[in-house]
Amino acid sequence: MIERMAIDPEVEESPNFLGGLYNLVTWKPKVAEHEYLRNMAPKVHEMAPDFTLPLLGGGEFTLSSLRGRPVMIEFGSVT
Amino acid sequence: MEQLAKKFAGKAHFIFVYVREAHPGEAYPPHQYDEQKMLHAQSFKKRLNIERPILVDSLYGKIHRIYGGVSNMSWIVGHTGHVAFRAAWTVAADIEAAVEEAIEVRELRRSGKSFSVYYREMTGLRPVRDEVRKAGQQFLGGKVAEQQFDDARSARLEANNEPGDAKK
Repeated sequence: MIERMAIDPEVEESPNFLGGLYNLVTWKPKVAEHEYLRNMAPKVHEMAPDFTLPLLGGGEFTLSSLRGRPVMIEFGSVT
Repeated sequence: MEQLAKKFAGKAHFIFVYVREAHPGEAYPPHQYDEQKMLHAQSFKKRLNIERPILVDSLYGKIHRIYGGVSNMSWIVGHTGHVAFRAAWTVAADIEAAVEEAIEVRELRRSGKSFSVYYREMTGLRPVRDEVRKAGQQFLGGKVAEQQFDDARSARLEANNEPGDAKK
């Protein structure tokens, strides 16, 4: 069982994030997000929270299924 | 990242998590429903020839938020499931060095050799958007997204009394 970080209660399915909409209508400077990453997200040496997400093309993917080798995770979008 | 994924094939996994649009515009508007986010992810895969597995986060970014919520951040999880690296931006040279080290840690542990690790943090430099533009990289969100970016940057430079060629 992978531990999950104690994280801000705002981290749930909500349209809002850090005082605005999660799905940005316009780009905005990233100061708040960077502070959030530094202070609220899992830190180096801590267990990475496990997750299962749909895989583009079909099926699902679970992070812990790759245990045994390093995993590089890039977050992003086309824009 | 695609080149690095190939370089480290068999030694490390590389995956991509599709999250909110960082620069929404007329070409790729903000996500309003799951299917739209999936379509954007398909477009991303096709336009940029992405071969890594692409996972699509929930509409409101549940996993993205858990991991920090920065638009193009990068993480490396070691072979034991512990965080080995995290960064608010994705820079190939940083990733290459960190993945090589994560592989080395795995091999050392499995060989039973004695070693120790230490904690470190550092900041990094990345090119500003104007340099990216000069290099020919398109702003894929569209003209609206590009204008919004310029306006926000100009406002920030003015507010901070910083020099910058985006201030027109």
